[in-house]
Amino acid sequence: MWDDVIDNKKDIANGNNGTGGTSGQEQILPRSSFLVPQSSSLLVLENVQTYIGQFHILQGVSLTVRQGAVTVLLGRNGAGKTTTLKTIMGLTPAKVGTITYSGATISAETTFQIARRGIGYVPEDRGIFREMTVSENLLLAARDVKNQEYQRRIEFCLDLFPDMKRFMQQKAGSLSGGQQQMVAISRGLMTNNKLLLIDEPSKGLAPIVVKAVMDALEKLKEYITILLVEQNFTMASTVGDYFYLIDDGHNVADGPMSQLISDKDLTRQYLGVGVA
Amino acid sequence: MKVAQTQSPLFILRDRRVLTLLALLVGLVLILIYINTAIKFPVFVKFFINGLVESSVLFLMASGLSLIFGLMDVVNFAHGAVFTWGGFAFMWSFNLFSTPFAQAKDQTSPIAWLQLGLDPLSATALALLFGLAAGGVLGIAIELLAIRRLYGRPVFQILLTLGLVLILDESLKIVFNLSAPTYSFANQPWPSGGFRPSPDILVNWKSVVIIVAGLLIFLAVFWLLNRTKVGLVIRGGVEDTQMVQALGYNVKNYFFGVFVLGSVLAALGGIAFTINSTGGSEGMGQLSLLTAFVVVVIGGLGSFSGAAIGALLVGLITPYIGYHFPALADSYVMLLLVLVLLVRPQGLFGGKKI
Repeated sequence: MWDDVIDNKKDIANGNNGTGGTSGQEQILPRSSFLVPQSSSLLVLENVQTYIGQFHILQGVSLTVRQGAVTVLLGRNGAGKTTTLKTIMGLTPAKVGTITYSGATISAETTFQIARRGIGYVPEDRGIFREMTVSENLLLAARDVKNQEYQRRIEFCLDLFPDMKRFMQQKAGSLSGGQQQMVAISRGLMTNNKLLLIDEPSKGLAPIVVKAVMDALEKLKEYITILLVEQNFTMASTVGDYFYLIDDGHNVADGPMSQLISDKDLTRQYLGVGVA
Repeated sequence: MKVAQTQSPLFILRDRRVLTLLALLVGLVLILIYINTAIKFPVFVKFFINGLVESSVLFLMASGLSLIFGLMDVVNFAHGAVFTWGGFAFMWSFNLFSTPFAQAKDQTSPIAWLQLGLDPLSATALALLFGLAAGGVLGIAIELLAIRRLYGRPVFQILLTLGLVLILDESLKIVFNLSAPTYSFANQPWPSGGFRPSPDILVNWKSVVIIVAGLLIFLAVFWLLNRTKVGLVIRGGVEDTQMVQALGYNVKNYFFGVFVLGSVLAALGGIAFTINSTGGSEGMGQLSLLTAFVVVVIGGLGSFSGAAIGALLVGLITPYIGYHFPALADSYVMLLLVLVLLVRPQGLFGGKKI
């Protein structure tokens, strides 16, 4: 897969959109491939309902993540966005409904089995191993990756986050929030993932760091399908291709991001955002 | 106006390395004064070697406990029973392998053919494998049948493993057909004899072997935890189990491996104990377990190196305390624990560091 990423990157640098000629098209598509037919959906949730203890958090979420696109989950605090990602990863398993990934039903699988299918997860709290160095964090994430490929992935991550070179041997727990976010995202790129679930990458970060993370996601979406949970509407609307609006455990609206940007009533009603 | 900045000559004391060196020098001077005034040099050396052997046995016990209790937060009181089983399995199988068939008491027994009459080295090597296998099998059984359902539930772990202690101690008597609470070797296991570095000092080869075994195990487990991918998964799993699962690792399997490794190390501790004491008793595991718990807490929960330092500290001090203050021989370990926790509540190397 990584050869294809590199080839794809070269194609894009040469002005080619990277869709032709590589065998990795199924996994990594450029942004322009967003308008792919429905059949190319990578992840499908149908009427997913999840309980945490006695609380009925997800009350019927249905969504489709299209291959090669960035799909953004939007909604107020407590709407069920984070739980949706956790349910996909099997961390809070769905009680009702089905989750299909690449045509296979994964609702009944355990977290590690789901991850092995090629789904990376960047949790809201970043899930960094604080007692390990940054390079140990990345090495741990490089499951079933041979040495040469590991080096190429590291280079790719350092290309995406050049700042990371400075603190590769530092303990991850000693890093700032923005640096930890870089490590958390890079960790999702260290193995053969086709889909990356990213939960609120801008949370608690200074505006300048949010910009850096946003730029990285802009670059990253050329190579991997992303399902993003984001409260920062600027980031969501810049990076996202498609949106799902979640409220009280249901999805209440969805469509291309451009449609949401132009629908002032919808953004005001559900997000409290006044779009100029 | 320019003010000349002068630095006190004592600033050098701020350097931790200088302070450590000074502490070592002061310690050395105190030991020399102690040797010259309170104890004869050959006795001091004898106690020092005995202390190293004690440390090594204690470390083997505490290293397994450090992995199971310190890293995985599993309170396993059955660890002491595994120590006893390892030691008894070793002694029993050694007696079996080293006794010639012609001298067998019961030649009709179905295992009488195992009385091979092997030389001490071969019998010890085979019995070592048998003792370690006993620890491994017990570790597998305890994890699969009991602990697996109780991760994160310490009260249930305590109750269940205390019950297991009773079962394992009683079954020990049945399996090894014990008529007395103690058991010993029928023949002298390897290594026997010793050497004299000076006319007044005799060092047993078995002491050397036990000290080297402890050191090798420390290096091997330290390497496993800090220099391998498996170690990374274990350390990651201890810190954030869910995240390691989300990276595609089946943490249950890794924890199972750690539990079995810890049990094998406990069995090795039991074997070293029986070789050093030329025998063992039913209660040897539970007595050592208490000290091992103290060692792990003194070293700092989750710190494998801390367990090694704790074992060294307790093991080295024990013979001297026993010599000068016999009344404190059993209780001083608790006093040491209180002292360390008063100064460093997280233990000497605490804080989930390895």
